[in-house]
Amino acid sequence: MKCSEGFSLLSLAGMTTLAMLMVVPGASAQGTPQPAPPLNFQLPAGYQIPPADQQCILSGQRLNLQCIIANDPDAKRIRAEEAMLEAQALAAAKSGKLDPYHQVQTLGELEIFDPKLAVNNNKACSFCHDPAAGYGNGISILSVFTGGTNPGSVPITVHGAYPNNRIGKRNPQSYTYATYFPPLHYNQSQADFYGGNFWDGRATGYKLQNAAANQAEGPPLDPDEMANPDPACVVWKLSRSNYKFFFEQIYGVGSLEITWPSDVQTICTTPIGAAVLNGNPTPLQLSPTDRTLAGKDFDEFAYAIAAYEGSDSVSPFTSKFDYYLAGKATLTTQELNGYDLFRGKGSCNTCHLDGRSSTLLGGSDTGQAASVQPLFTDTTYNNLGIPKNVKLPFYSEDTPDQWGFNSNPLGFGFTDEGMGLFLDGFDGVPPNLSWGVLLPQFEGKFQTSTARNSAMVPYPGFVKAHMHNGYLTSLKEVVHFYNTRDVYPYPVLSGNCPQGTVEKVTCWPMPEDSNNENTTIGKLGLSDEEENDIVAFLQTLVDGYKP
Amino acid sequence: MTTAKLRILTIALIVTVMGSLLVRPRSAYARQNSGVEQNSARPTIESVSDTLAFISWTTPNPGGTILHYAVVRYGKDPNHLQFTAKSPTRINPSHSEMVFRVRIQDLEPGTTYYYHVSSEQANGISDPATSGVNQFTTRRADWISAKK
Repeated sequence: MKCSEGFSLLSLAGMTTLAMLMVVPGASAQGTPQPAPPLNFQLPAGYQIPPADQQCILSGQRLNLQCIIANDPDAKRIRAEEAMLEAQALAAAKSGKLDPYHQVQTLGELEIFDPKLAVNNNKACSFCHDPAAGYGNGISILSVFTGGTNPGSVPITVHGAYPNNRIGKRNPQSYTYATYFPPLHYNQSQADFYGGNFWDGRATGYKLQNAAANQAEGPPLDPDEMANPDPACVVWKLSRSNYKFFFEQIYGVGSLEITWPSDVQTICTTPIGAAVLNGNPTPLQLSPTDRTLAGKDFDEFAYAIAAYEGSDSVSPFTSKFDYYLAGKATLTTQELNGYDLFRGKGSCNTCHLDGRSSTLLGGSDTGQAASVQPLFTDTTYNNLGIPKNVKLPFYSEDTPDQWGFNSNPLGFGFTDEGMGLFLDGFDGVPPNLSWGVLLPQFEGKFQTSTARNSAMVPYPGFVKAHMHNGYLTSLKEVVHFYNTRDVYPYPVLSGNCPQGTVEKVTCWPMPEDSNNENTTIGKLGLSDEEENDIVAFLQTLVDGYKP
Repeated sequence: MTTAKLRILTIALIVTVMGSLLVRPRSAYARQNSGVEQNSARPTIESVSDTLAFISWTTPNPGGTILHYAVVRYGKDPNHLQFTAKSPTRINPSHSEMVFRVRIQDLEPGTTYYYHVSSEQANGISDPATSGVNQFTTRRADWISAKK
């Protein structure tokens, strides 16, 4: 090799590396600040606002979130459930009868149902992840009015502010079966991302090698959720909990013995994002030894949550379909039709893997289950072209709160690019620097959720929000969207469908982000009856079936 | 062995050998195809508005990566298809055929476009099926208001 050739190749390699590193946060196109548009939507058919919530309805179809938190019957039900489950778990922890396997899961349960782990001691993980709703949003009125997005721990007390509580930008993602998702990785042969947790995959699990545990470390520190200002504040709260003994029983005596600074109370009751914290991610002044111990504790806290998420309480593989695979249940004619459509004409199992063979276009079903515990997701990411959900209060969270925190300076100008935001560094630089160049192929994509428990609701008539922004509020709407997105496309925002059309029936507003819109779906040619059959099949995927 | 049996065995052997030679080496997916031509994509215009068009075509399952891209190259001059629209789509390994669909947006109203379709794997390797150059015309800009 001549020197010049070597130089050229080295230069090329260097330039390639440089180019990869130069894909820096902020490179993708976000909009300019815009005010949220007025709302104009119909309530879902048959839905009635609970009497206790009538007082919480503001003008312009908006909600007084503080009022909802205090009065809504679902919110009350969830708090009662979590108190009961917390008490049960504590009793089990104190019994001394749990084996090591169940000890870790029970610790996770204690953590998940503990509202004191939020900065204001008022929001447990389970407030947004209701067991009775398949560990997703369990507050029906929020599905109707806020896209299923849940108010977090921090009220907004600035006079006249709407919303009057910090609130996230996405519908809480169910964490059933989340522990079965591998750490996020880019599969070279498939040229595609697999695994990770969160709608955008940012819980990569790269450090813990456990995406679900990595995910569990997110909400406690999210300004719009539990809003703790420092991971060590979560540990401080654990050290004051009534299950401290149990944590130390599992992870070692002295695990939570940390010398806390005198201002720990002040700092740990200041929500993350507060101007007084100056953006410091670890404002608690700890000795290096204690900081290391707090980091270890925080990881163990997360591992325990992941253990609970993988337990039989959350991910048990006990749906009717599971028993059908085991030969202990029989699907009805409609459910079987739906199943055939799910893996055939509907192409649903292209992404929602059911572990079996297919019947499309003359293919034959061998009847052999390739997997007897299919996850009903391939853990990849897709842009389904979901319209922007104009109902999200997040779009109005565009001015600083009393803490000086501004959750969404762009207001309605914010575009949720899903994995694009993650790759673009919206939540910090991705851990794998080589991923940055993949941004153009993954902008607008969100994780394929498991179809398991998508039909689980606390009671008949409950409105469940689906998709990352909760735009779709029933499984019928979901299937109809997949079936007709490209049959009834209109270049309008939600609430502006042309006269003579009906939004979500004969009109689908334009996608929030049209980049990389997936065309596996959009025109499936399903009849109304066939859509219903698929919905019937999805209902066989709800855990807790008694054969 | 009788002469008749020997003759049958010989014929069977010839048929088997000829058959194996005639079957082109293709992916396991493509082998299941039900008659759609392997290398010729015949696109149809699913729908077209003033600024948006959907084009689709069906091919034998090309195999390869699960993630594929349906690709349309288009332009106003049939000899200069300078624009490209790519839509991600996922193939189902169990399906014998694959429907590719592309969404083309930001078109000019009332304009004739020429286009050519193809598809490729996520790693950039092209699938065999392509089309010739076809055309479609977008609607006038006032078509939505006309529907009101």
